[in-house]
Amino acid sequence: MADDRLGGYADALLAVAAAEGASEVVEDELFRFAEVLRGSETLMDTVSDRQLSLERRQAVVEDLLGESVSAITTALISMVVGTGRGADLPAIVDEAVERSAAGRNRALARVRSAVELTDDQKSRLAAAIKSSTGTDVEIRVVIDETVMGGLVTEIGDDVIDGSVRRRMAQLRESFT
Amino acid sequence: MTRQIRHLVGALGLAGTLLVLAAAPAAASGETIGSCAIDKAIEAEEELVANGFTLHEIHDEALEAEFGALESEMESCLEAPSPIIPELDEIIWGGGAFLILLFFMITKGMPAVQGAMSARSEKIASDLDAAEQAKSDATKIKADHAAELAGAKAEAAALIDEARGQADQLKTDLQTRAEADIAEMRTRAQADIEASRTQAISDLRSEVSQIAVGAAEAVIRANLDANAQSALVDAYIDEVAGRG
Amino acid sequence: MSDLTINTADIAAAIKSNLDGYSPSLEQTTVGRVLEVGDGIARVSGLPSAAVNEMLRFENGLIGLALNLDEDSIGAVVLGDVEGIEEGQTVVATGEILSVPVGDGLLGRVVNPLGEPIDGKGPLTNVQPRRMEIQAPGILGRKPVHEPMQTGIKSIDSLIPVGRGQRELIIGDRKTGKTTIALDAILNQKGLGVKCIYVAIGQKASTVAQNVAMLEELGAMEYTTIVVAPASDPAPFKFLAPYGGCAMGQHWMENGEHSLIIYDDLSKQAEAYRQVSLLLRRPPGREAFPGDVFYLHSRLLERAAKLSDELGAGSLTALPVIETKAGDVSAFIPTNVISITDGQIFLQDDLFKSGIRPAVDVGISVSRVGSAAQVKAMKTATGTLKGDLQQFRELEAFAAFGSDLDAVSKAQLERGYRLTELLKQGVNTPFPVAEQTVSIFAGTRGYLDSLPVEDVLRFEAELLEWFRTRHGDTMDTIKNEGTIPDEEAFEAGIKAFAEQFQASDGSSHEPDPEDQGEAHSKTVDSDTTLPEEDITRDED
Repeated sequence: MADDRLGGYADALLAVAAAEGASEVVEDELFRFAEVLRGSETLMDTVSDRQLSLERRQAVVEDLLGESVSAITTALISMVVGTGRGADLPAIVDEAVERSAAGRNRALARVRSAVELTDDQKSRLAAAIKSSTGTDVEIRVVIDETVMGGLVTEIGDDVIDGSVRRRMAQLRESFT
Repeated sequence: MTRQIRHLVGALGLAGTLLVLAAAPAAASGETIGSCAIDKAIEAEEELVANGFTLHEIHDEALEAEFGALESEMESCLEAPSPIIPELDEIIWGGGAFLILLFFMITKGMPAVQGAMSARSEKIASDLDAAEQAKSDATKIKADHAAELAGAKAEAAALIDEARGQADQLKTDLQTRAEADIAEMRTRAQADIEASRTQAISDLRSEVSQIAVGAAEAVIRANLDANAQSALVDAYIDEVAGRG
Repeated sequence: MSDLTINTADIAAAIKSNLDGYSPSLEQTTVGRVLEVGDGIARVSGLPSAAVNEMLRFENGLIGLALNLDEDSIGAVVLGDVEGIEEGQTVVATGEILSVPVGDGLLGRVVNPLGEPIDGKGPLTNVQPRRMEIQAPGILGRKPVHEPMQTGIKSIDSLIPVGRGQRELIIGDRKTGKTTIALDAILNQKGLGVKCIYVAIGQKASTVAQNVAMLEELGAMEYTTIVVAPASDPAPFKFLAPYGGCAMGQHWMENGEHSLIIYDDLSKQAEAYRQVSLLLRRPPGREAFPGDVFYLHSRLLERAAKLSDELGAGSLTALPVIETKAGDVSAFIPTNVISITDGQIFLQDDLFKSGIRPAVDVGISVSRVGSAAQVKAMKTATGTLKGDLQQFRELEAFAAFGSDLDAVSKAQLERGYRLTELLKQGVNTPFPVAEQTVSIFAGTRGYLDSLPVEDVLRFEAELLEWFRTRHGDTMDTIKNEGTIPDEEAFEAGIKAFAEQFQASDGSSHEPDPEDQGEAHSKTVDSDTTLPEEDITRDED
């Protein structure tokens, strides 16, 4: 039930992006915003705050996004928040990105990194994943300071963790 | 000794009894002097009556003659029979009876008396034996009692010793138990101290290691510049590629 | 504590030693996500390779246990507080089946159902992990129960003997002394080489603390492990606690040792399991228990066994406790457990209230295998005890109507009163087998018959003291060989004591039941005639 509804939203987002002919950019921007939303509790609280009117919530996200993203992305996010689905936005975007990747016969690889990756690194990572798991992947980078260094790649339920964070955790575990 | 005296006394008694029994018939056969005189007087009176005399009719001479005759008659009555020598027929009868009695006494009475006497003497002998026996028994019992008494005394002493030993045992038991308890308490306290020590050490260790790891984290974070980051990413990509 | 100073060199050495063999590498794991969480239950998506009873690790370090493997999700119980778990968090399958530490390092410790120490005595040492759920030993691995498991309770050891490797249920209403019997059984194992595990399920934490303190004080913790899932713990802990304790006991059993485990109590475990099952949406059955509640207990109790000689001849004796409501043994859980166990010790509320403690109802309590394990001396002493007591119960009910009884019945009644008195026992005073033999022997042979009932326990205490000091070797033989060396001398010893015993009413001892019966009837008569005498005196 819930998944179907999320799927509906995801399809709508993808259709709008495709119609505007800017799916690549819009998807990327949506994905990044979703990760921001996921990472920030205050923002999440705000967009899902029932005390605030929908218009106020929409205004908050529009102000936040401003000129940093394309107008279509802002409009799409505003639309989702406007329907009161702000809290579900990360899930909707995940669904949309995954569906989009699946449409291109690719799996989504969510890469967490402390720093932005170069295009070269992204393509080499995709190739490396292809060679090790045999699946074509689309790399989506999430900037996550807590990773500290190295990368954490999530493909579906599989996680390949080569981060400094994990090494520190291992170290900590080995002490106790 | 006493036995012989008793025999003698018994024999004398028996002989006396026999003498009395044998003399009694002889005395019974003799007439008394009184009855003889009365008999003579009645005889004289009857003679007078037969001669046709009544007492009133008798003359002096005749009467005197008669009385003289009576006097002599009575004197004769006084003279005979002899008090010592019995009459001949009595001797014959008495002798016969005596002989018969003697015969029975010898043939029947003697063995019976002798049997009774010997039985009695035997009884007395056995009584004496029994008395002897009882006496020796009594001595034996007395000895036994003495022995028993000694045994009881020894037993009492043993019991006292035992009780004393038990008391000692109990005392040492209690003592060892108390000592064991104390030792146990001590070891338990020791173990508790040890346990809290281990706990403290392990707490400290984990704390120290947390601090150490935290410090290491801070150092690493400070050292991760752009080059290092990109090197890490490249190493990661190579490793992922190498897994296939 | 002076050597607790730690300098930097030590720390460096410790870190270095821990870093040896550390090689960082990529780690590929499969993660699931929390779909929903609540009431100690988490529904997790993903993790297709998770096995039943596999441990799952939540993001905040909590452990979950995968119980329901549905098509697209896993129903897991969270072993801990669910507060820190949120929807969407990742869950990692550890690949480990739930296990607990086992070994001698557990002795003297108080642990939670996962084997983590909660007594503040530092981490466990000298232990190894072992799967919590292990199948029971098979048929070939077992042999019949033949050694006695002395509980130290006269009424049980004489009439309902328990053997090593047996499963004997302790059942009764609340506050009838079930836990006391169980703890006394632990106390009595001192010096017998039996390692004990006390699993406290759903009890008040204060009660458990009290029991631990008592065991500690009496030196029983040296050979005892306590597994605690207090009432405040989440339901999963309560339903797992018996399995954790059982795994510990099985370890000892398989090492050729003897162990005793007490589950106090399994009705609370069943209730915890019902809660978990209902939350996992398993279909409810009778009394809302899930369909496999029988299996819940049968697989647990089947793990108690006497192993064959090839397997080391170890044993695990289980004393499960079940609480009934208003004496109703026909409820679901009691009937289940009664059918699984090798007998049951019934505790009756009315007996308890009438001062017969332990309140064991010897009439309906049974032990199906233990009599083979009873020591010979005890068998000799017991004799017709059970029959006597049964007849007494019948007669007692009959005599309640005040009807006149013949001399034989009266004698039986009198003996019954004394035997019942003799079987009474204080709390935390288990009797060694030798002492039990002496007192039961005195009772069944009629040496108590002429005593006033209130003197019975004093008689017993003095008799035991007498035997301890004067017939120590006899007592040792009974203890070590289990037989009475010379029955006549033994009885003579009791007689000698009985003759010098001073009864409280001043009567000298005449060990003849008939006399006593008459004497008693006389006192009864005098009771009835007394008022009449008073009346006549008034008239005068």
